[in-house]
Amino acid sequence: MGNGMRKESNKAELLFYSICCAFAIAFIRPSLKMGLGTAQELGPGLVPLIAALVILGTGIVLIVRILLGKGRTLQDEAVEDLHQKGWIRVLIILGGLAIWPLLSSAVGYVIPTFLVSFCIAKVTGYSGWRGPVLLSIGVALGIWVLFSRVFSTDLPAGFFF
Amino acid sequence: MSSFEHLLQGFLIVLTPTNSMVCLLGVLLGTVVGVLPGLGPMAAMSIMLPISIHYGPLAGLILLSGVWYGAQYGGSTTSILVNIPGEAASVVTCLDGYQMARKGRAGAALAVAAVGSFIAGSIGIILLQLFGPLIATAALSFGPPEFLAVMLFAFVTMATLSGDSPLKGAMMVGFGALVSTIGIDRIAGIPRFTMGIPSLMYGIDLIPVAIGLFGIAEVVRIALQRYTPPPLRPVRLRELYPNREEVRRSTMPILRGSFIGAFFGMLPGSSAALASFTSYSIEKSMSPNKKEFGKGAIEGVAAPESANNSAVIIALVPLLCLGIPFSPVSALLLAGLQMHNVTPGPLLLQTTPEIFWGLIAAMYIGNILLLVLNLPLVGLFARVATMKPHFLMPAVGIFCLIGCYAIRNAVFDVLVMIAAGILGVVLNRMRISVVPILLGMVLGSLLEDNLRVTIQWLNGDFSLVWSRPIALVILMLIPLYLVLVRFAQRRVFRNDAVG
Amino acid sequence: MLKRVSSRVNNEREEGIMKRTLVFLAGLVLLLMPWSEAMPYPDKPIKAIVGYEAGSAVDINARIFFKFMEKELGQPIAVVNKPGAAGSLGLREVHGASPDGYTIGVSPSINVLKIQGLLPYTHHDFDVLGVPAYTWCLLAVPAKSPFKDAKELAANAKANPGQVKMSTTTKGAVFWMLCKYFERITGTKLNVISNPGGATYIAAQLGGGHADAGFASIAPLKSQIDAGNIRVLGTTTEKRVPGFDQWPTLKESGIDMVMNGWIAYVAPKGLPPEVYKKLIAASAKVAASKEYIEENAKTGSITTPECIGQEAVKFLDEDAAKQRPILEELGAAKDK
Repeated sequence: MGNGMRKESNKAELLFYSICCAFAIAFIRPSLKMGLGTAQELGPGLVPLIAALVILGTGIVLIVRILLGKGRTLQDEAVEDLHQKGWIRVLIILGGLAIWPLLSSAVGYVIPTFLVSFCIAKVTGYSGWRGPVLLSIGVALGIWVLFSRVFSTDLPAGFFF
Repeated sequence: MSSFEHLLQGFLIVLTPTNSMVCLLGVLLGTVVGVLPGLGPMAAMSIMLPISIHYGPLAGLILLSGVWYGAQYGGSTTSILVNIPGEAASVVTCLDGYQMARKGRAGAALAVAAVGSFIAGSIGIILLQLFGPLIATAALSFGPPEFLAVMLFAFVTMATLSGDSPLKGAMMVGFGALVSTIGIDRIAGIPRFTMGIPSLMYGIDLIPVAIGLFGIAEVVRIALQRYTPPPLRPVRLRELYPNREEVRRSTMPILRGSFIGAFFGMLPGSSAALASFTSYSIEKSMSPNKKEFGKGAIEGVAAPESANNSAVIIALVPLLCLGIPFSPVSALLLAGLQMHNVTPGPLLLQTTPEIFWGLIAAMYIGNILLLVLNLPLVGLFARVATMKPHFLMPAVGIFCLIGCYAIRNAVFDVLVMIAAGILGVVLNRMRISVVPILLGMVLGSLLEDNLRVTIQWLNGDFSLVWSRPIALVILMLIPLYLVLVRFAQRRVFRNDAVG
Repeated sequence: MLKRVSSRVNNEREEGIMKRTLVFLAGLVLLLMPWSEAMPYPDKPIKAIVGYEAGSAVDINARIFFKFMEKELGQPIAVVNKPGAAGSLGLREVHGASPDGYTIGVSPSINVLKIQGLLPYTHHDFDVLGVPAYTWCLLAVPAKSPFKDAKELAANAKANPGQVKMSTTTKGAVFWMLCKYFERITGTKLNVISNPGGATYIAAQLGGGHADAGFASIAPLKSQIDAGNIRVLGTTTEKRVPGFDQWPTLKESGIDMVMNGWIAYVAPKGLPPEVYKKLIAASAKVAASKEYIEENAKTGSITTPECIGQEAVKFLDEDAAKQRPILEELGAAKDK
């Protein structure tokens, strides 16, 4: 792994740790507002505050270590660089899943489930159209039978049922 | 009447057509529920509740409890095959189980999980039968300081789960603990960090997070790699089951896990999850094969899977012998019994002993049924692991999605799963272990609750601690444990240096 | 070239299997789909949303009520558990559902959730069906306790402020309210220990002798009471409870405290008049029926058949007025 890649991954880590620290800082003020309590009765804000401070503390140390160049040792497995195709796949899967709640409250369970299943099938390498379509219909229906009828789950209602 | 004679009577009661059928139905349903990610025994039991009332107190109890301990068998299946924890107690099984599956040892892992569950279940049932009331008295003598001491001990054992970098591990634990506080404060009753969004008042449930961090991240990982089909040679029967070395290495972890699980079973809260986490941690700390943990060590499957089974069996002790339900699942069982006018508790053995002994007999039978059910399925399930991803992943993805939804019929849980999935993908890229997050969530809330209750209980008078011998003994176990771990590690180091 | 042909053959075989599975599934689905035609209310199953976990006290009582309502209405009532935020999340869903009579809700605290800042609605934002029963509560101590009645406990608490350990549940919940109400009435200060979750901890802490006293309903404590680990000092009712009349009321012991846990059944506001009338009539009939009274007595509840419809709304108003000063005093009132 060359120096260039090392710098890339360091930048990514710096970003990540900074986000973690920012996340932790966001919790500090509300925790203090909720009250830390007394020696007789711990308030609701105490444990969140401790947790936030732990995140902040470790985050700062890690950031400093990277900036000082002390960094970590080389990774034992090289992390494949994500070329563009990879990012698209990740986005499709996560995006598809994220859209499901929105769509399903609007049009019910069947269509979004079919779409998500189809996306995952294509993205994991299912070539053609007939196969993924059949598979996705099967998955959507099969799960409907299992969850809605056997387990009485309250699946979002829509056009079909 | 000796204990043995009681048990024989129990068997006679249970070996009727109704009771046998109900036992089989319960464990079958439990296995299915355990295999499905997200949906837990709780959901299946609530559906069975009206049906169980139909049958009568003993049959109803057999049915519902069958679902409960049956689910502990099934939970390991998805953990091992597709890296998706069926429920909280199966999370640690993913760590080594899935790695074993990737190396082609899925069958061995599944078999060890099944056998370990059986042995642990049997030990649990024997303990329940012989020492039930005694364990119950012990459980009753645990007050707030004692529970806190146990949680502290568990916390110390889990330091070993922090992965390669203690700093990153600590950060993730903190993150998990922080996230677990979002929602309604369980003690003060006020919303915490909900920012006016009503859905956040649901609180962040552990299972959607686990499914997202493990399962969704795995779906993404598979989508990113160029798929290479496994060699299509026929899978030999011998490869489906553990080899001699694996059996040898699993024996002690199974036994240790059984007893650790039994201990945690008598505590309130999510005892099965705590039992499996602690058992895995202790096994890892003490094992000569420590380095293998996380890469496919058979002990990492044997110990937690045994622990969660015995924990669930012993969790019946407070319910049956004290009449106090220590977890929401027990509360459901209690409701089922009360609807028949049966009051479990210390008087159960005197007023309606047939319920106690009938249940024990049914559990012996159910345990065997589960082994008979699961072992042959090992071959079938192991083949699932070799299925082409583009078939498996869509089904897996949707199961995760709907499974999460089905926990509380809440879309919010699905959103949590997705967010956790994104986080899991990011953490995987950065080579940061996700386990400490789950640890933080489980232990965070348990430690906070017990700490706050204990502080209220002390009411400023910390000298009261000295009046609690049990708590003091447990606290003293902590340095003792650390010394033992040091000792075990030095032995490993010496062995490594020599051989 | 051969490989491509064989993989195509494989794909076709896979597709063949899939097609057959699909046909089977489609048939199954058609069989299981809900078919319906328009008929008088109720003509299809009713959904009941319980904002508490299955097996919890509220859930058990609700299921009993729904069991009898099913018979009256002639349609199954499917219970859906949506636990979270003291039942307020389930109520939000009920509030948002269409007021056609096919969604009902349950709550033991609907009149004070707005005060506590957990719900922007009160019972006036729903159509209240009724409060058909209340769960009476009792004051219990460990068996080895030196207190023989509630007066002794109060006296000890007065002499030792902050020392008497009272085991209870989450702040804002009924059992916690009882502790605070007790403090107010007797003018004492106790060491109130709030435990997370339900009354399980109360039973364990009293049975094991880790706390000095606690308020709870009879259901969670019964096993320990029967076993002799817990003793009852008094009940929080007006008169002695039939079937349990060996226990004096707290009123008799000189502590004028009457407060119990009730459960209200509600529907989204704006029900059509015939639907509302039918539901009210069914609720009244169930509340007055002998079997319902008996089943409730088993779980420690007393029926109030007159508290249906508008009477229930009045009751909820009065009860909220009782609880408000306590909530305000403890800073739990967030609607100012």
